[in-house]
Amino acid sequence: MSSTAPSVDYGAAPIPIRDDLALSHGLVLSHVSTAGTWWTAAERIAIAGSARHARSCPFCAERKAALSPYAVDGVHQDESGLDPTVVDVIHRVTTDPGRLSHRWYEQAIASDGLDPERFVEAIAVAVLITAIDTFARAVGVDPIPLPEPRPGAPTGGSQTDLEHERAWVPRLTPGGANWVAAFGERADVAEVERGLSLVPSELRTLTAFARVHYMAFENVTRPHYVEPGRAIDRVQTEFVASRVSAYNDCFY
Amino acid sequence: MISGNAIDIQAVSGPGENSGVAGGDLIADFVEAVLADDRAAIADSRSGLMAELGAEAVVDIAAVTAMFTVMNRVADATGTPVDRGPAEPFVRQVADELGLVEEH
Repeated sequence: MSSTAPSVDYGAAPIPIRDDLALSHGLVLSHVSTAGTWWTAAERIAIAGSARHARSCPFCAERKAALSPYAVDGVHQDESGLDPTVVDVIHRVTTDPGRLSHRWYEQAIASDGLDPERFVEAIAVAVLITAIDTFARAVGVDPIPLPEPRPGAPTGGSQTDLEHERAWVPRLTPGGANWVAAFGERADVAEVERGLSLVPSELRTLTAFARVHYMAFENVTRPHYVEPGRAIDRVQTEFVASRVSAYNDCFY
Repeated sequence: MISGNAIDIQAVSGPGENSGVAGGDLIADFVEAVLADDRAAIADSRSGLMAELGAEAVVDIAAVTAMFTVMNRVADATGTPVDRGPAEPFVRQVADELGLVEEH
């Protein structure tokens, strides 16, 4: 991520927004509009736009209301120009994440448009935009316009030291050189942190995002820890986290 | 039991009243309104929350809400398992009580 990205202007919000949040959102938008490891900048902006518009997709609404996500057929309302399999992944992760399955993942990466690396990077872009939009809604402002894609090509570079057990996606193996590069010498890396470790630049962005919005991951296991300058205590913080997880039918 | 106060675990998914969390009912209403994208309810609950906890707390709650939209989706989309270690039985028990399943 570029450290020179401008902060998002939250001047229209009815309440003052912390500077570190405005800067974090500016950094995320800069990151999303820059070529990634596997997707071009234009594709990443298309992924972000697809995630944003999934919330108003009639087919997603119909499927969300169905007893099973496989009980209805239809076509997503989407103007991203992305491969239909990619669109379906983005829309389902955005609008119905609690009913994803291993079979769904395997079918997605069996398509021509996706492999595990591109899957993980697409998920990262989609969820970060969803988070910024959620924040905007909460503080009473319109969604922040997506920036224009920047020139440049994906960097590529396959990750090594991977394990394929426990999670659906390949993840860094504890203790390897790449693990140390990603997580340092920490012994208490949470499973969810490892979820994006197949694409290090997305993991770094998630880690920075967590520090500003929640707390640095290395402090999560300290039960009384609260980031300096916060107006809610740890119990309130975890209550919010738990409410969100319960709403999303997520055990995490 | 971080604060020494008893917390009602059912308040995580049910009504926020009597949760044992300061402002718990207002926080629950606000978070639910945000996730449901109910603009009128967001504005109403935000006003109540500001009066009770202050504008800075509202921003912090919005930020944590945003963060966990990320955490939930990353966990769900990547098939992330429950963490191993001493807390695993407790996490599974809480998830069972709340009817939250680990999908495979």
